[in-house]
Amino acid sequence: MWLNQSCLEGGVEMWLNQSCLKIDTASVLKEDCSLSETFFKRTATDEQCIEMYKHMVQGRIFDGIALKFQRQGKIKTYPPIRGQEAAQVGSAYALNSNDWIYPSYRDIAASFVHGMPIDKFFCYTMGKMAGQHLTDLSIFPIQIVIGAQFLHAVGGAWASKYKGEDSVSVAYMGDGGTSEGDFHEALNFAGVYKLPVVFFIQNNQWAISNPIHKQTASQSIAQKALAYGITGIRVDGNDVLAVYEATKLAIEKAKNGEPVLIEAVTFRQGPHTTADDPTKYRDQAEVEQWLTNDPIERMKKFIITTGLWDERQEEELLNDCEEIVLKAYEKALTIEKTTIPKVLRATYETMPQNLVRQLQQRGEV
Amino acid sequence: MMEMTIVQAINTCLTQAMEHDETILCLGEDIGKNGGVFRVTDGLMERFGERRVVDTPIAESAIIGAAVGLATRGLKPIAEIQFLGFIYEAMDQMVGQAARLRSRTEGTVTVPLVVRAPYGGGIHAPELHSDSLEALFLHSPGLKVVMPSTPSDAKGLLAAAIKDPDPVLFLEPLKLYRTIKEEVQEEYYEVPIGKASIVQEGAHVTIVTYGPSVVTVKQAVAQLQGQGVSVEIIDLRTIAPIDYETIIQSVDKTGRLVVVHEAAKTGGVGAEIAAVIAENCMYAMHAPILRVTGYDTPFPVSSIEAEWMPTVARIVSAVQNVMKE
Amino acid sequence: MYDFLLPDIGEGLHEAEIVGWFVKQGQKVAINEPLVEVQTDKAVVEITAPITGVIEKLGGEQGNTITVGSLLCQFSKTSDSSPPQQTQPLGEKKEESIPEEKIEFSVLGRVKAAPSVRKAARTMGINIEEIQGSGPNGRVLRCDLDRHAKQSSSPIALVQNKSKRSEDEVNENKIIPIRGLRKAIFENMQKAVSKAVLCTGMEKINVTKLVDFRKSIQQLPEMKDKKITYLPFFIKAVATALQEHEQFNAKVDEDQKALVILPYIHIGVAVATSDGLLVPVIKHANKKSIFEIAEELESLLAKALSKKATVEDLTGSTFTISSTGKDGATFATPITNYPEVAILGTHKIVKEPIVVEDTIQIGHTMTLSCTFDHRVIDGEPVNAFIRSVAGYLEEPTRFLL
Repeated sequence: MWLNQSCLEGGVEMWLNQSCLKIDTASVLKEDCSLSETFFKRTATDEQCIEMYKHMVQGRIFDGIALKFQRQGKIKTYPPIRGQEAAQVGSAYALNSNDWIYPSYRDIAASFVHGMPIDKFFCYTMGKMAGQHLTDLSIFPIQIVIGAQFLHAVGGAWASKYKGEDSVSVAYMGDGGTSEGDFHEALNFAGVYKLPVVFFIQNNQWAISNPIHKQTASQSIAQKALAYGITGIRVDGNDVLAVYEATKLAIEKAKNGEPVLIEAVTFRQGPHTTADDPTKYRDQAEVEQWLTNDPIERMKKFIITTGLWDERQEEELLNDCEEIVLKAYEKALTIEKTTIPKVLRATYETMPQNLVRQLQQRGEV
Repeated sequence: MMEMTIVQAINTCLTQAMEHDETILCLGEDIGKNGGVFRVTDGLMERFGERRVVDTPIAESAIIGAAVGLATRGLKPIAEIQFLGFIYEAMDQMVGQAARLRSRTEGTVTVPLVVRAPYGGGIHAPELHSDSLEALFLHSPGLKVVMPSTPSDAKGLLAAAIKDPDPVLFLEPLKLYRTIKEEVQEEYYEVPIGKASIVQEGAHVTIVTYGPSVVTVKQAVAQLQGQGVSVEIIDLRTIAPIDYETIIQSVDKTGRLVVVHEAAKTGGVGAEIAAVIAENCMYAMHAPILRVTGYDTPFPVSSIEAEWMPTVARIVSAVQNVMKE
Repeated sequence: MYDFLLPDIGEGLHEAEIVGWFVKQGQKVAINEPLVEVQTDKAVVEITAPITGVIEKLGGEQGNTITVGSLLCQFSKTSDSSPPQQTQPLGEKKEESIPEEKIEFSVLGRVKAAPSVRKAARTMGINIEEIQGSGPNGRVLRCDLDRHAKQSSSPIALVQNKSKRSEDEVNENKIIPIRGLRKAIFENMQKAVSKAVLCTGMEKINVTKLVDFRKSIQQLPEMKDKKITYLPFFIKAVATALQEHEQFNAKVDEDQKALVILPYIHIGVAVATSDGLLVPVIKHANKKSIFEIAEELESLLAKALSKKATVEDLTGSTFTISSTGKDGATFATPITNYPEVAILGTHKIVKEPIVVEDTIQIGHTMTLSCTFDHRVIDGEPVNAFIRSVAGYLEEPTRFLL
């Protein structure tokens, strides 16, 4: 299950290549949605299972409404999360509140689980700067540049270690980001300094229009950990329990100076963003195939068959989730708008002469 | 007071700052045991240990990116980029991240980071070891760019950069590292960022300059002494933010301006200074504004670098030209 | 009626073609139910209803192209939620005021001269185009101006100039351009009156005790070199009252149709200067003592009068006081400092007969005028607010509580 340097011991001849590695995808839920202990012993309690399920549903309901709101002009560009709920929720649910997350723009459900109020994200998509006031929640500002946040997480983990804090930094990224230099430099630094950091990759198969096999020639993303002397694991990203267990174990390792790269194998069911049309580059057959492996459907089947959940509760949950999202939108509407003077004032702690003059030229004096 | 070079002044400032503030740590390539390729950080690792003086892998983006991460979590990293020409590797982390986090979060996340880097020509170094790239950062809102030319300014400005709540790029003129010595106050002190210094007062023409060109300008002005021209020399010391007030006041008085810097001409700091003066001092002007700079080419091979950089002759000639008006 | 305009649904789109409607005229739709499918340059996209309502009109038929920002369909509103903010079509800017100031200029000839020489020519009243330059390439030099001035300063020329000017004065209106601070005041007043619905409540109050209170403070030995005015008391009273009446410490957000209650109390004080009104701001006035307010006010006023006030000093108020002073009117209808929702006028203190328990006594009274934005505040809360302010000014010992 864990990929580390010992995987290369013994069996390696002169040439090191992919055949030296056997890579499994760790899971908890079997195909029929019953439990398997091949990889993990399930530690999530029944209550935690339900809670994770609720978070996933909340994420999906939010996603649906956000998409509609974007089409209605109520919010601007939005990156849908549909299909990635298990990967985001399972990982974030394994964290303590003093652990930090370093999200990219699509890690919305993970951020909600870690405490980001939904109205903040609405603000973000409405162009209100208040959407990025998140640090009191140990959530680093949402990153737009692919990969840059991995180095910030390394710095954050370094700061934790330097100050002796019991906190892990978890950085989120997609498969496309693993081609960026910052990804490799981050893993390298983490390995050299043995930092308490977990790199969480959602391999959703597509980076806008570029499929994973055009992104990398590696047979897995997880194996990239080996090159940097850190530990890797490949986990079924549509299996929330597997993601949860893997992240929990990874955090323990990271706290002991063993950084971990997690590859959660999942699928982006929707477009890259609301400005994208995936039918231009992606076969519907592939989408249909993945829809049969929907993360929420799988977990729902598991909790229903084990008697933890029923359709009445489901209906109630859907209504609650929708109400929460609509209320959050109403709240976001009341939050103060960003103005040019505010932006001028927010660029430095003290406004330098050039900005003071620009403010004066607007007649704001 | 003690006689120091720029290298000694910076080293002293780092030592004093680190002694007083446990949150400061230095990171960069070869800065530990080796003391930096210019020995600016000599002795720091011995004194403060590997926890606070960190040799990094060769990865400029990671040095700045990790420093951003450190700075946003309550520490005060001082990162070194071995030569300014190598900072291209870290442009997103400098400009897309460090400079913008405050603005992105409306001040809820700040990046109190210092990035030190030697720059400029004159030591016959290989390619990309002599670049003056300050204009790239002048055009990057959110950053401050400090460029001292003397040991005492270097010491005081570095102290101010360390205290500054915003990211500061602290650029060290490598040609002057050891060539100038002056009496420097031993106690810890600050020189304010954003304040130019009037090196010499004059009535007929203002020369605005900074960094290694300050020395060349002084030589040129000495040449002009016998010709009855009274030159005011302004050392900007900080190029972002520019000290508008000092330069406007000076040009209002003299009515003539020459800007001198080593970086390429087009879109450089001189262009910005010229624009500021055109906007604010037009009716005081007796003559066109002239720039004496490097040429609009990449920094050239070492055999011709002396001729490429602003020379005394080019500065003298520019001053004579504006004085003819 | 609610006009739903086609939003920009794909980062910089210009138009979309209607693929098909899911609704027809007269049909009732609920919020978030499918409305129409459109084809943009980037994708085929389903648009849902932004509000619940009945479709009054469709903006186009299948196959029609609609530009971003024009009517997609019209609803007669049935839901009471506020209609959402609409997208601005690309390239169109929000109501930006284009300056209409008329500029007088002459087409310049081709005479060459340094800017400093041109300025000198203007100052000396010389038309530089008429001068033959002696510099390189015929450039006009400063010495050419001096020479010209000497030549033309004959008595005849002076007389001619003078007589012409006096004629002008008789026949022309005196024009004072509206610029700078006056222009800012002009625009802000205009905005307040055109947007807000203003109404003023007035009240006369008995401030006999306040007059005594201030006098006793003034006599304290530590006040020997200082003078305390009534204004800090007014500021303190208002700031304290605002804590209890938070809807007065607010502003209107027109776009979101919301009353935004502000989390801090910053009191602006309208002050007359030679250029016009300035409004220095006492930040967090409710957390400051009367003395602190007095000191800060004094320094802000000094800065404002000497034109040294910074942007910070003059902006950010959440409520404004307009003090008309001891030579001012008894009542007034002050105009709000838009988008603030109310302003309080404080007027002169006068000696007057006052009825106290069926006897007439001589006491001090003053008047308060509170103008408020009636769109968001009703009359009753205004009475309560004025009473609350008056409570402190009539019983100044309450300041100590």
